[in-house]
Amino acid sequence: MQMTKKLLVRDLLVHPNLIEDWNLTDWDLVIQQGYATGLLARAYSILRKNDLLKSIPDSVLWHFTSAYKLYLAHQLDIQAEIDFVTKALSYAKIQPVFLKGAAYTIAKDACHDGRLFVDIDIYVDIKELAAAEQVLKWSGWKGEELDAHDEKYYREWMHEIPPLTHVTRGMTLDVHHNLVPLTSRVSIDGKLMADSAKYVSSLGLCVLSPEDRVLHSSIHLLLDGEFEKGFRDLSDIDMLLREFSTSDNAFWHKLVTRAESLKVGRILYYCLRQTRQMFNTPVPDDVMNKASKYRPFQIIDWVMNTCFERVLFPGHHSCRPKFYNLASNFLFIRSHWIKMPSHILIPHLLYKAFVTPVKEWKLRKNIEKNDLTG
Amino acid sequence: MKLSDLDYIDIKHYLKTTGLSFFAGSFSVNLKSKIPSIAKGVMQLYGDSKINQTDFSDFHIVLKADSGIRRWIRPRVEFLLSDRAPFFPMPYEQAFPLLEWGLNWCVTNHCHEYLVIHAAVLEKNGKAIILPGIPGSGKSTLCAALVNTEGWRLLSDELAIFDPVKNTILPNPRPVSLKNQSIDIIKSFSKTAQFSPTVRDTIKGSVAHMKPSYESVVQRRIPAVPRYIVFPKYNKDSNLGLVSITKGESFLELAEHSFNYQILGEQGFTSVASILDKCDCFKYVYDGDLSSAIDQMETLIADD
Repeated sequence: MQMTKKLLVRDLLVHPNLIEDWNLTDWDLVIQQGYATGLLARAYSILRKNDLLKSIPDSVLWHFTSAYKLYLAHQLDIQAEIDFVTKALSYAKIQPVFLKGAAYTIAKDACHDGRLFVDIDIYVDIKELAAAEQVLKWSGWKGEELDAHDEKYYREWMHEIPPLTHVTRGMTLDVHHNLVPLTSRVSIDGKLMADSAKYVSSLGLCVLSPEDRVLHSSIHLLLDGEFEKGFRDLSDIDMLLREFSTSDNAFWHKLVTRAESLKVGRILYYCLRQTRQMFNTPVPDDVMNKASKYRPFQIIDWVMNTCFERVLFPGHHSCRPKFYNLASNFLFIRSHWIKMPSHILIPHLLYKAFVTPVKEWKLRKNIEKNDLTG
Repeated sequence: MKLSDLDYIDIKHYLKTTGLSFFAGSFSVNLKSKIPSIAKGVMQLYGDSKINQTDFSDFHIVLKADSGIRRWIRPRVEFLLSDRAPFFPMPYEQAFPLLEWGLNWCVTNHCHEYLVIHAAVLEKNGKAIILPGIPGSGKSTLCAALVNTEGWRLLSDELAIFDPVKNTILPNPRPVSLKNQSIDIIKSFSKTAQFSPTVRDTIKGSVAHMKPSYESVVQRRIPAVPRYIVFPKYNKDSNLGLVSITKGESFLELAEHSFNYQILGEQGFTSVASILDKCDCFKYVYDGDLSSAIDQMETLIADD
């Protein structure tokens, strides 16, 4: 991969000691890349753990400390929100499985420290979904008003219901009833993952097992078709892999076996390849070889990896590889192709192309008026 | 070196190439733009600002006009911080106001070392007056009039940046934003003040920016100690003047006017408390008579 472009934010995350040789121009760039990727708070956490805060120049330091303060405030909100969600669902005796950012926080995975996220994702069994929606509504969560098309999109095709927002606190809750879209060509039995979800004993809260956390994050990173936060999400996976493989010798074996039984070996292959390439993740060769059994036909393998390695770079001009847009458009189209069969996909795209823009334009007109205050 | 040491050609050249690095108030900015109104606005209103000769800038900002077909049909301009666009694009003519709003946003959204309050701050004889205010309160007009009065220094027309460690206000002297009728009021109040061209039909109505005084800009490193909090309230039929209010009431108001009170948590609470420890608090109902308003502020400062 082209390493001519400076990817300092990656260097900082993976080899923090390198910062001791940085000059002010490097710091100038890393702050920009940090803002572009939303990773300044994570960077701060890593520098602090490595006792390197003293090596940050005075004029630069506040960018890190402010980002971290913002993170701490978000954490308080998130912790409270996790309790609210748990409490609300307990009225219907439903135990949700927390996913993504909330799960990292609950499980205290290393990547949670400094990671910002604005909404909470939970999984509930489809049989409990109606009851869950009901009790959440009673406790103040409200769904966005959607038109009939979008309602159908979520209810019949997707793996989650329309996002809920709490009326007073404003926090968003995504309720999943499967882990990939129902119509997807890559199907996973969400129940299978949820059944092996583990309690984090001290809190009485439920998250996926370590292997499944990695696989679930990889599936969303590589199949959702949106890569705006791709670099951050790949960094999550890198950190999860490093942490789990250090604390559990059998982790790599479990991960590969689990991917095989969930039939997502190919996703694991792409993901390990990308994280190794970007973050130099210490994936043992035999694990890579096992995962490589699931690589596709040579030319497809080449196309896919070439695209992934482009879009997973931060969206900042200083490190954006050539053909970034081409790769990103290709993967976006592919993600839709995978998400839905063509008899659903084509009418959906036509609707999004011609009906939604008019609706959004009207909406935007209203928002613009209230957007800039101060 | 100041921006006014460069000529217009240089400023345009930097804006188009490496970016123009200078101090916008207390923060260093690297600004890129090919839009002429940005070059003119910066030249006209930031002339006294220091050029940043280090290799580090706090905020890398680009103001980008539409390309392609949109250049010709209702062109728009976009504000980018580190290549990310936090706002919807605005009409092309509003590029300079968008830069100013964007710079405020940069501070309120990223700077949590300080408690940032939506307020104007002015200082005389080492005593600072904080003027928090909702739009329409007459805060900006009063602030602009004081800036044009001998002996008063502008710390900020929008953002009171309180340092919880030093218990002082960090100056952030930047152009003063004026809206609608206040533009003409201040133009007739001061014959010497310099203004950017008025931009009409923005989301806030007509907007013009006034150049801060030279003294305010060169003293940007000198913090000020808060001494008074005055909540202005414009009412064309009333000239009630200064009315003392309780610290409890002021506490709630200040917290409400803060951008990052929640984010700072306990530090936000102690910051507001330590501002109030030092300050007397007033409501100020005035009918828009600026010379009488200035007299009252002068008396307040002189009293102690």
